[in-house]
Amino acid sequence: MNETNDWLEILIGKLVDGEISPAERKLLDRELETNCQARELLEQLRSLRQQSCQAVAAEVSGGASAEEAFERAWQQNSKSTYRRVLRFDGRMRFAMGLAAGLILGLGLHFAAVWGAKAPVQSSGTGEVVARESAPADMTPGGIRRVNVGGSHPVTGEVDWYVYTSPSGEQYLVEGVREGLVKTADYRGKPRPM
Amino acid sequence: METTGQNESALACAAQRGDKEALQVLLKRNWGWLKGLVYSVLADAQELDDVLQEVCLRVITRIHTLREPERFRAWLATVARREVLKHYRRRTHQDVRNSKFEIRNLSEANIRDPLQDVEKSELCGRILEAVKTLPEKYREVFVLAHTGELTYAEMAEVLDVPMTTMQIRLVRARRMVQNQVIGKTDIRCTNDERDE
Repeated sequence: MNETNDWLEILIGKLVDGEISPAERKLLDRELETNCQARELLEQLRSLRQQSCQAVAAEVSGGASAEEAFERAWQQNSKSTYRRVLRFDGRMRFAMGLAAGLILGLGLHFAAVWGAKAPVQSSGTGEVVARESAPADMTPGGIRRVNVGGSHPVTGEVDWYVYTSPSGEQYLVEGVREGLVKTADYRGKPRPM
Repeated sequence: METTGQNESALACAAQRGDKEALQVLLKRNWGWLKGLVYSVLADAQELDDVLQEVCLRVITRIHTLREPERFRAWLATVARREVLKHYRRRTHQDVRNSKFEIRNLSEANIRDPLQDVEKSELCGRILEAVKTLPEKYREVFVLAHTGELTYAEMAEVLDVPMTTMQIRLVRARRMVQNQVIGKTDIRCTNDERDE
């Protein structure tokens, strides 16, 4: 098929589709007067167009109308939006629960730490007495030292305890931070318990 | 046509602002060719409604992404094509385009009195069979041209090609269908496609 035939087919196509301009119509009319093949082609394309329109219309004309399809889609979209909101709400609830758990956990943690540091006062013999700091007038005079893990005493910022045995002997016990009992450094005079 | 385009642009803007009625009017106006386009890509009239429903849903949810309201038709065509492709992926059958293109019995369709013109029905069936064998770009333009909804300029806009390209595709699609219907083998198709 050469370019002339393409041009002619385009013009005939435009004619059957109702898209031809007056100038093009004049050109085509002149061609149709002299070209019997063009006239035959015009008839074929007219027939083809008519049948094709019917065939395509038969295929696509059924089914839901635009309004029906749109309404269904709109409702479907509204439902999915509502579901999205619910899902978001669920996530929010989860986040809130997580935050509450975290706060509760932190609260318990700090309460436990605070409880561990709270001073416990001895009220009598046989109890462990803990103090946050050694009294200034405390001296090592009346207390038997326990030397664990070497000949040199270890000095450190630790809790210490005074233990009075049932027989009346006093022991200075260093804090049990690492599960060890160490000797503590102290100054001053022991205060009577 | 310019007025229609301007109106559609205004409607598209309104739809982007959440105007349900504007969106409905837009879809209603473009429904005819949209069905034709989906049909031409899907090549299956049975699932046309399902895909069109998905297209509507997609348009509702994605209208805010339309950057050029004056090109609503081209955007709609792109959305429709994407939905058809998604539909393909969802389907379990392979090579649907060639094997599942079912030609409905025209007596069940909207031809009023098919028994009076059996030859015509047979011819319609042959045309649809021929359309089935067209390459997609020719099938699209052929079906769009025969929905009778769009002008050449509008078809070019929907297909997102220059008008001359659209015209050449239409001529070649018709030639191929015509040759198939009358029993010729169109050996020029490959050359024509290369020439375009």
